[in-house]
Amino acid sequence: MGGMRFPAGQASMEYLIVVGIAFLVMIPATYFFFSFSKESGQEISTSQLDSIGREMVETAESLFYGGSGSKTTMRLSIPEGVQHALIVDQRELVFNVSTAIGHSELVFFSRVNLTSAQGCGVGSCSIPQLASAGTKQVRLTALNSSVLIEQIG
Amino acid sequence: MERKAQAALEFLTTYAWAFIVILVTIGGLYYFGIFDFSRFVPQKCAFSSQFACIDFTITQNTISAKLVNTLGEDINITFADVSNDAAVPLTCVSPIKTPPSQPTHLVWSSGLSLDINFTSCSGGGLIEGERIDVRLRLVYYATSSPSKTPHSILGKISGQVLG
Repeated sequence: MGGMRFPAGQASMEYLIVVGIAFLVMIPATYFFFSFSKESGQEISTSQLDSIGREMVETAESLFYGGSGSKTTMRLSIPEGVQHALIVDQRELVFNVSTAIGHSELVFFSRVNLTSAQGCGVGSCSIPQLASAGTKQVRLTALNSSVLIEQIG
Repeated sequence: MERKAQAALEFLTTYAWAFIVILVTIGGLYYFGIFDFSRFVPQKCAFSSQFACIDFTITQNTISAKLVNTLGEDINITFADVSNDAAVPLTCVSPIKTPPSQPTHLVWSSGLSLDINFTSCSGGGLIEGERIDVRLRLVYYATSSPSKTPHSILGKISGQVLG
């Protein structure tokens, strides 16, 4: 009886030690994983939107200097968190973004005038179609004095 | 049945001290911050690419960030503020003072770097050696903008508080 009890106790103790060490490794690993994945996801969204804004402005400038009637279609993958998209003073493309740390704005300055097909008020034009996540098709058309941005799909 | 129960009870009485020692040890390690794994996460200063953050410093009473204006436009900064989620609110003296009667704007040319220094900071968990997260908000407008529409940009600094 006494001979059997010691090995059983030792086995249990060893089991507990192994499980304990496993937990000590798993807890920090889990923390790092969630910490990095959360921040990386946010940075990817911001970079994606940054890329979209720059591409839209560069394309608009290129079309405008190509002459009136020039047009092209862009396929954009809008990330999560975009709350508003608007054009301010006909030359600032603005994305209002909600992030884990609060609200922020990404602004892209264009050398040519921009306008949208609808939602234009005093000093600004709204582009509601770009204010939701997902794949959007946008057509940019060079007019006489500006570039028109409109969603087509 | 009785033998099994006796064996289980004997096991528990023999090894209960071991459980207690383990629990006390874990409690002690927790108390001394061994399980605060956030200190091992790299320090970083994250802004959008339009305001590249190239350096930062957090001390017990100052918070500084060196940013580069990559907007491609000259801007005027009208407001700068730092905050975080600490129980005691973080308060600092902003480099952009905005009295209602005489607002002071900071002109920031395109392509140039700018040191934004917050001084006389208190609260916010600014304890030497501790790691804290700070939100940095800037409000600006483009110098060439006719309507001077303000825009707000938010960045995050995660770093260790220096002495």
